[in-house]
Amino acid sequence: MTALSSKAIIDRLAEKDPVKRLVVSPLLEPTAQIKPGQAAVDVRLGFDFCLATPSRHGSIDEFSEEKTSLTTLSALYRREFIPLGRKITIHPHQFLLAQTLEYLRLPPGLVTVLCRSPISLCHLGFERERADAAQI
Amino acid sequence: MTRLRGVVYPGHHRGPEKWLDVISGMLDTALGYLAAAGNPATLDADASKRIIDAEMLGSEAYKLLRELDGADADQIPHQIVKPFQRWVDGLGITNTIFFRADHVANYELARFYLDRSLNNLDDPAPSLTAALQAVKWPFMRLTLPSQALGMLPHFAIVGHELGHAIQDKIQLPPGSVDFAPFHAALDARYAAEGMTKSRETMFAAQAILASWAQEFVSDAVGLLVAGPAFFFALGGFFEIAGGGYGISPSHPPSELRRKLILAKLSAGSPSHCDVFEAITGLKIEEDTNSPHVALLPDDDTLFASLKVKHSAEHSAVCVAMLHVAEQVAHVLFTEAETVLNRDSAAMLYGADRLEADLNYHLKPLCELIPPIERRDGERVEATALAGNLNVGWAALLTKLDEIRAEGPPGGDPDTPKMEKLHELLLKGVELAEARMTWDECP
Repeated sequence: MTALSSKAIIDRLAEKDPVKRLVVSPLLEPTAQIKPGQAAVDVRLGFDFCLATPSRHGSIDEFSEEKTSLTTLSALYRREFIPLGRKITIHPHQFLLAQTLEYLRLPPGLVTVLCRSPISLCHLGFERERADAAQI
Repeated sequence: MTRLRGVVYPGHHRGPEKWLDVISGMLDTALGYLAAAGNPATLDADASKRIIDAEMLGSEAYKLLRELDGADADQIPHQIVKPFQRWVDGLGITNTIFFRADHVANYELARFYLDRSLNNLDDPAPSLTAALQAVKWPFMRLTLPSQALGMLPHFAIVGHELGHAIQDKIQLPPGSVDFAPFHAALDARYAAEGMTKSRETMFAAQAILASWAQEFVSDAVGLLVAGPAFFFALGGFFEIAGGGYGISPSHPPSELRRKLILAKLSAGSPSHCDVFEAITGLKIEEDTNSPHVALLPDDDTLFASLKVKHSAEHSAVCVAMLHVAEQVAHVLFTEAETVLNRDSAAMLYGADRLEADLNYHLKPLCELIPPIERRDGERVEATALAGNLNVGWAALLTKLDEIRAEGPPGGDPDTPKMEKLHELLLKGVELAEARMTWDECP
């Protein structure tokens, strides 16, 4: 598995065939977000945020036969919509999940991108190894 | 009031806050009256009057709070509000407005002229004066069905409601319609029914003509800003709303409205219909997306049907009005096009824009790529709401099978596909709006 260069990423973004196209949209500042030699796309914070709220729920077992219900998730998180240009304050010790501004869609043949940070599932109480960085 | 002020309104729109400001101002004024009544220096008669006035203001404020019902973010998608506001601004509507959802299939534009009474209050609180001045009156409220009742493409009907906000700019020029067929039909009906024409008959005719004209104007505006999406959405709405032939003293029949809109979509070369068929393979027919709309019967049957709900006089006028309705609509559609070309040219959704949007976005949408922006070399253009709605309808009507989404075993296979499509379109609207906002930044 190899990482795509910035030029290869740009080429895949401009792919005519939508099946093969890599989608990271909207790219508001393409030159700032895809820098030469970076082999990555910098993404921005979007509008939807989930703020973790204290609850009586314990950890969620990823492998449990019972699916995690939306009710449980809504008890764990409060959703906030913050329009472009407005701010959200993160208080000390507060944790929140944020969507990227960009809509991401990976075509067949490319694998995922994750930033280097503990993934959200860990904060839901998963007892599993922390997922580290991955690359295209 | 504290709780309502803490509510996040869809898209953080300022409209509901301004509405609450007016109500707060009324309550502050009422509290001022009560304080004056409690002042020992106030005469008993004046104190009684102040208390009664305060009670009336409080009661009125409570009624106004109820008008806000449904304006919270649970019912209207956040993402859609700012694009709707763009339509409002693009059509030159400067009135203060807010959007709210109702749990019924209903679209409505309401106007509130509160300034007329509130500006005449004695000793208004400074907060009331400020709130009244901050509003461009009449305050407007646009009601749409809650998100439980409609996928995004159905919201194309909002174009029609906003047409009502500018209907006064689009008038029937004097002498542009020959009303002789109307009078002949009305005379014949009166003679057949043994009725006598009176001044009230002609007043009723004027009122019905005015109402129908407003609907034609609003249909024209909806069509001009949303193209075929408006046709599909309106047809779908007729189906959901039911209501027989749709004809009443306030509305022309559904079948006629559908026919007139399709005629406009078929005009020009290439027309919207040509473009749509060439790209999707679907020929738009009158009953596309509205196969169950009741077709108009002969005049006698229609008259008998109308008489069940309306007076014989109104029923006779409605039936006779059908003899000139197409003429009236044709003139008004042309007038609407002229006015929008003059005042809001950027809002017109022509066949060329439809072609560009369908060509660029339809196939990618089936590959789960929302209609966010169109790239042409270095040039990038955000997809307008009208483009999103039309691509949505094209996918809904012709490509639903290609949308990859699976529901629970045994369920309707189309439901998860429609949900996925709605989700993709909503994401498209949200991010296209982000692109526009970004591009507008200095």
